[in-house]
Amino acid sequence: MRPPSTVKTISSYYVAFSSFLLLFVAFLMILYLGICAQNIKSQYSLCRLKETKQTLERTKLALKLELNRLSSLERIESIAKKELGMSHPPNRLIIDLRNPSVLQASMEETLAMNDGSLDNGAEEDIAE
Amino acid sequence: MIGWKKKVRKRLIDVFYILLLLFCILAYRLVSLQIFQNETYKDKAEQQHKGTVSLPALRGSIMDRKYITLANSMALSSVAADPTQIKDRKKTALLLSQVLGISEELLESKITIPTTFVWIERKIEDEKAKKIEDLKLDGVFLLKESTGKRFYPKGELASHILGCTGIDDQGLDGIEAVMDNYLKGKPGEMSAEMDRDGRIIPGGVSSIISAIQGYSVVLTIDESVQYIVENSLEKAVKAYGADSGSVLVMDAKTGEILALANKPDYKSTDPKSPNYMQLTRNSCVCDSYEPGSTFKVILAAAALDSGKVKLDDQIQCGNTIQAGGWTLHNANDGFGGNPTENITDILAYSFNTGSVAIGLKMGSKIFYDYIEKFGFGQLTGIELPGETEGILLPLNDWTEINLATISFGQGIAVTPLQIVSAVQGAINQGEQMKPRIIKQILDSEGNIVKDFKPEVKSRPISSETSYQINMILRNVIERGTGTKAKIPGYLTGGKSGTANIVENGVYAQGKYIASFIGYVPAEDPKFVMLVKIKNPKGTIWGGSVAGPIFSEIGREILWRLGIPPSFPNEINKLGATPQKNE
Repeated sequence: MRPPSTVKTISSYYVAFSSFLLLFVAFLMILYLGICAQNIKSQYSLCRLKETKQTLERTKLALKLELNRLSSLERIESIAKKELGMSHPPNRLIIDLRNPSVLQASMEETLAMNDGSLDNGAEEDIAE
Repeated sequence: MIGWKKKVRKRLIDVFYILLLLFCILAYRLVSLQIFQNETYKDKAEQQHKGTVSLPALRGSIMDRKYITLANSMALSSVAADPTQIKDRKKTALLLSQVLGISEELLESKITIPTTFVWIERKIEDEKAKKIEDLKLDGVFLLKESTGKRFYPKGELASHILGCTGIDDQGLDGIEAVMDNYLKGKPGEMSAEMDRDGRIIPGGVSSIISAIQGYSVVLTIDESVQYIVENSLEKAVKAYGADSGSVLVMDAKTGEILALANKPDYKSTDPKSPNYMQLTRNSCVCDSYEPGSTFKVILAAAALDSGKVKLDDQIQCGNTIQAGGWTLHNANDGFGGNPTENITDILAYSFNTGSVAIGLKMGSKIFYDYIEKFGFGQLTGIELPGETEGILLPLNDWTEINLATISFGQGIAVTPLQIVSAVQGAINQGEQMKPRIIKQILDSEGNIVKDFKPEVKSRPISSETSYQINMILRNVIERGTGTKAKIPGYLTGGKSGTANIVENGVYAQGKYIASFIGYVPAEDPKFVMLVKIKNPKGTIWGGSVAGPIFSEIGREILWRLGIPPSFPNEINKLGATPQKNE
């Protein structure tokens, strides 16, 4: 038979160990639950990000569509004529760079034709 | 005291047995639910939590040769309702009407139908969808569609080529219909567990079938060329008070269609008009007409290539000629014919009599063979719906009068595409290319899935004959019936045509088709273009009506494509060019 003091020591040891074990298990469980909760939260935010991505992609597509509509030649011509009062140039001047002598002659001839001035609204185009 | 203890003990034993019985019942129920009825309840639970989400597959885009988008799709939501869940129908109809812009009466009639599902409006804009969501109406809900809505950012540009789609984004006409198998995507599906707000529970995805996005189709047409053509044609049809008009521009080397336009089109035609379908047909491929004198190009090519006629041969001409018991005349266009003319002058001044003489000299068999070689009476195989092969009488049915009239382009019906393709072959060193309007097919990432290369369709004539034809057709512009088609600064070749219109099997009195087919620059042709004006008022001659249109469109296309002129001074000397703005 053990002496009373030894029994007391062993039983308090068991109590302490059991308490620690319980606390440890509780901690592990809380940790596990915390991780699970965090995981679910992350996955929800991932879902939200995916939705945002989809929305942004749709917006991008809508903007592309709008860009295409705005760059329509019909619209540009209409704005140029009606809002900006632009018109097709009356003259077109072609300078042929392939042949220097022709170029010189062409320039002189054109200058003579346009009263010595090139600044008469002529559209200059260079043929290469 | 003992009795009391016994009593308590007995009661405790009774309670124990009752609890044991209850426990056994619970245990039995538990076993029954968890083991024996496991599948049934599992299915029921899944039905409550699980749902399928449609993964939209967008239809591919249609682009021009420079990858400018002409048509594309966007995924949109639709509004539907469960009329049995709607409490206040009048209020619901009023609120929906304010957002959707649909009449209240129509909406009310829809939500009064005794059913559990009814479409209110398909594929609405995101803004409207958001407003409807905010209204939180009982029995009204938004659904994400598995297909998108089609948009045409350039408006009606190239509408005859592009065609249209239906409400489910399926191709109905034009390229949309012909290339539907490539353009349409395949919607996917995902089944997953969802929470009460319809969100997917993380990790709850049980199966997923990915959506396959539609391929994009790249056309051979050029947006800027198409725009020039459509604008000029619309003005011309109005200016001449014509019934309709068509212009077709083809790359002279590759057979690629650069522009194709018909007026009136979808934009200028009232959908309620009884002739809506007829007026919005793609005339360039679906309608045949008698080409008139433009067909003399084929006659000359056949005569020279067969060796039956030489460039300097003098051929019977004059103002009348007898064939098959009929007396045939020249057109009354102010050009009188000498008793004999060479083939160059016969084409330059478009003498019908000389053409008949050439036809008779060549004979039916040879002429027919060349007509077939050039592809008349056959489909060209262009990737557009409703193509017709025209009308070419079988050789056995040809009499002398048929040979004579076909020699100047009457008694045969061709499509604008056929005649453009034939002239392309005649001036491209005898190499006739297969007409094409599809350039490439791209996947959703922009990778090339299929690349369509130029393809030689046939070699109806030799390169020598082609050169001779080119020289003859330059003369038409320089000094013949096509002077008004001349494009300053460029060598141009072409042929005018004026033909009677056939209505109900007979030639309509006073109704003509004025046309001009030409190419430029003649020394190295870049494109072939046909201008066809149906029933112009005032002047009727192809050279006078279609010629100037050819010149105007041709000049603008050359500038836009950056093709340098052969004679720049010719342009500089012109000084002020006519203003295009009205």
